Amino acid sequence: MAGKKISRREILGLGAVAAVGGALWHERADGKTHGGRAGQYQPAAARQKTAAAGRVYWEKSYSGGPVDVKPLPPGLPEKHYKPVVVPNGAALPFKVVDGVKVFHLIAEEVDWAFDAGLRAKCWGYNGRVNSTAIEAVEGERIRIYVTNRLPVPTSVHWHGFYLPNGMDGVGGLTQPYIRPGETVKYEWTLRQHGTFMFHSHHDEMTQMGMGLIGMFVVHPRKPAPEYHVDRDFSLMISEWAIKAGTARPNTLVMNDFNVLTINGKAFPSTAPLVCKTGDKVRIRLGNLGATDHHPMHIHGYHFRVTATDGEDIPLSAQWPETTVLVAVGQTRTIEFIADAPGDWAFHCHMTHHVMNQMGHDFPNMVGIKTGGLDEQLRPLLPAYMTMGHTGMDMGRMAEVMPYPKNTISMKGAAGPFGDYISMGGLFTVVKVRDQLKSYDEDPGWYKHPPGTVALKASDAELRRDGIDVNERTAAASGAERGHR
Amino acid sequence: MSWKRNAGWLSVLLIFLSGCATVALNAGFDEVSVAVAERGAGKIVWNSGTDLDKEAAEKVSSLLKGGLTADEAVQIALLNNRDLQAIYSDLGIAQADLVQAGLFQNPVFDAAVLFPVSGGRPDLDLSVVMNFLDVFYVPLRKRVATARFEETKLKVAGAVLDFARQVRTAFYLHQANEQMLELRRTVVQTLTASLELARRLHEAGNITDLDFARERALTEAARLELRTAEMAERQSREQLNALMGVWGKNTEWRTGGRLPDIPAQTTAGDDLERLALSRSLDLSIARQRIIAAGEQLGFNRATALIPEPTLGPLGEREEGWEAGPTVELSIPLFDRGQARIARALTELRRARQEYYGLAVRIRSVARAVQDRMSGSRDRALYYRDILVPLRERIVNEAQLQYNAMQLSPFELLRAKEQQIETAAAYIEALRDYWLARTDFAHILNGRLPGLDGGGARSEEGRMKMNGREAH
Ligand SMILES: [Cu+2]
Repeated sequence: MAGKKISRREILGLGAVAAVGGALWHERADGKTHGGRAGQYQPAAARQKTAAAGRVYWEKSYSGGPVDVKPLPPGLPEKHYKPVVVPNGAALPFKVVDGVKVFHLIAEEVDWAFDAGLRAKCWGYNGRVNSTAIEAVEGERIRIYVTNRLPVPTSVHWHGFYLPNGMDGVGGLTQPYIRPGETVKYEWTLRQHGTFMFHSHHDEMTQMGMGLIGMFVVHPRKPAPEYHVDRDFSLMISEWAIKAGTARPNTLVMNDFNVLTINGKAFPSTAPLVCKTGDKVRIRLGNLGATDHHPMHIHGYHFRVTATDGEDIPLSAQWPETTVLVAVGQTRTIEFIADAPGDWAFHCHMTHHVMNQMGHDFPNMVGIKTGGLDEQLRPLLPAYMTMGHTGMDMGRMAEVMPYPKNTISMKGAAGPFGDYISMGGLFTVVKVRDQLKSYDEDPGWYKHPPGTVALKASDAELRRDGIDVNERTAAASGAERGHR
Repeated sequence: MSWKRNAGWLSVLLIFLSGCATVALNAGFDEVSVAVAERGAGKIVWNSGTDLDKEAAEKVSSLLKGGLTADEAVQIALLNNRDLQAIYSDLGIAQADLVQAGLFQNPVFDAAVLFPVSGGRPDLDLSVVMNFLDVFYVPLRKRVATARFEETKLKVAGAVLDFARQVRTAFYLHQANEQMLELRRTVVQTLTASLELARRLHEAGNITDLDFARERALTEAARLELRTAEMAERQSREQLNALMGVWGKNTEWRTGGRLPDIPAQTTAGDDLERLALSRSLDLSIARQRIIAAGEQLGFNRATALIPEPTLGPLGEREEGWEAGPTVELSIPLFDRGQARIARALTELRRARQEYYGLAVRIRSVARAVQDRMSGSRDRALYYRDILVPLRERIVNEAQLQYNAMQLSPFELLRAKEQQIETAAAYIEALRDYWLARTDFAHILNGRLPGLDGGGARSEEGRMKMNGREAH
């Protein structure tokens, strides 16, 4: 057995830590032993310090060590941790019973508004879709009752957690189904911290597609000073197929998703991430959509990816980024200092993911000559108007055009300059202000200092800089045409 | 008996026998006219070169000026169709036959002069011989001819009604064709717009040659259908021209709008079969045939064993004038009339069988026509109340989906095209209803429509008008 350990260590290039094997647990450090008196849980932060070369043994880190550790007292918000902000959502309430933190999660049908003008019958937890977060503290014991008010059986999987196998929540594999009307109890001691998720693990395609997903944040027991942030946002990403004019997500769809959401909301209904200049900001991103990964991109800043749903990333391993890929089933935690005031876009960089209820059967109209077309068609279809020839920017037209019921325009919201913000879906705004009345209030549009907005160039400016607006380009001169 | 006295008696008899021998040319027409009017077919006039003709001509030209309805087209045709006028002649012929039947056979004057070989005065032998049994036969013959005349009147009335049905049917067909043409034009307009859009897309490099060719094929096919619809409209128009007997400038008439909407439910009821039987002209004709056959049989029986005697006064001058009646009898030795009687008897039997057969057929046709009418009514209403509004709704919803850019403009235009196609199907259903309703009215007017579902059946109609057999 020891030989096996050594060989694995050698493979992993960690040969230098052989002597520290039992250091993480006060009493029984041997992870293979399950009987006897439970050991006291020691927070990872403490572990990190005692570990050679500043990190935990791989052998232990896979499962967090022994299951039957003695829990630590429940951590309380504001007292023991700073609660996360769930834009458009809320943390699940709890109570403490005999030193155990008790939650009640209710799976039920929810008539959910994705945006003004688009509602659908979804499935969610405790009246919310994608936006009920569970928050806890490392080392505490939690008991989660799950009541099934759905018409079908379900189960809940705790994504990324070290827990007894029977608490893992895979319907049929590690537990019987939670049948309609039943309430099942999950209970274990949290032996890690970080950003995790929970979701249905029965008929996942249908049930996760219908909305049975959520974020599960575990704060560290003894946070290192660098854990402290001023703003700690929790954003859960998902994707939906809601055909224009329908009111129920089609979970059979595999690729043609047309509604993409952060905490169950599509832009412009995504709440802004309000920060004060100089705030240290953490954004926890989770992706439990069906098939799409999302490269989440921030404007005006770079950030560092500080953790995954596996563990914190050591400072030495973090690198600066402006875009982080959040694959399906992953969480990524990014952090940055919001030292530049303004309205900074934060969005998925896949362009189809910043569209709402995009139709994919429309012909490519870009560049066609439209003269006389409408006149020819209106005798037959009085409401006809040629569209798509200037792209998909409907602008204000979307406000006046009659749509199928329960349908939102592909994108757009009126912005500060009167023009439309031609974005939808996985798009939100990080609003950084020098002065804030409250974090809970949208501060409105950023007021730019004079001379700091890109505006139409004046003739004087053009003259000054010798800009000839009629300059012939390669395209106009035909230089780029074929070689024939 | 003196010669003088005899001669006087003879001349009185001859004058008496020839007294009622004039033929009224429009005999029976008034009765036909009344029967036709009673059955709602319209006014008929038998052109006779009088002021009445002029009146009819004026009526026709004034009707032609407005937008025609089915009733007006029928009226014009009744007044103006020359083939129909020709049929009225059947009445004159039957009337002539009747008069003929009432006439005595002309007496035969026989004169012989014998010159004796021995010389002397020539022997002069004069006789006027006539078939004296005519006195008995004439009433019998008249009864046969009267039955035939009655039959002819019914047949002429029936022919007029058939003709009116034919015109009405042709009119509805034409009206439907006009509407079809209008709809086909809209389809072409729709697909032309669609093609234009495709052309722009193709020009911009956004769709393939294949897609463009496909789009074009749709449009060209619709244009072909339009041409077909134009042809159908002209054909049915020509048919009406012929039926209304118009030509030249008078062919520039137009219909007064679209096919009428489905009227409220007509209550034909359960006694349709009884009504159809009681009003049937065809049955009346068949009855007249039985009567005629019966009269013929009676006549044949009466004459079978009676030798054909001729009776005449005979004057002979031999020594002086001698006068006395002569009688000539054929001896029924070989032809005792059995063949004539058998023939008449068979004819009677045939007439009876035909009568019953006809009655059964009328019942069946009445049920079939009623079923056709209520079925086509249901179909038309279903189109009008369900499918047509549904298609309209689909276009509206497609427009919304198009607005949200969920649906391509081609699909929107396709929805429009389908809406028009449904409207066309509705027009067909509505047309079928009016054809069925025409036939229904026809059977209640006492005539058997064909089981063909109406339609332009000019050949059949012509046969009905001219031939003996009406069915
Ligand atoms: Cu994305």
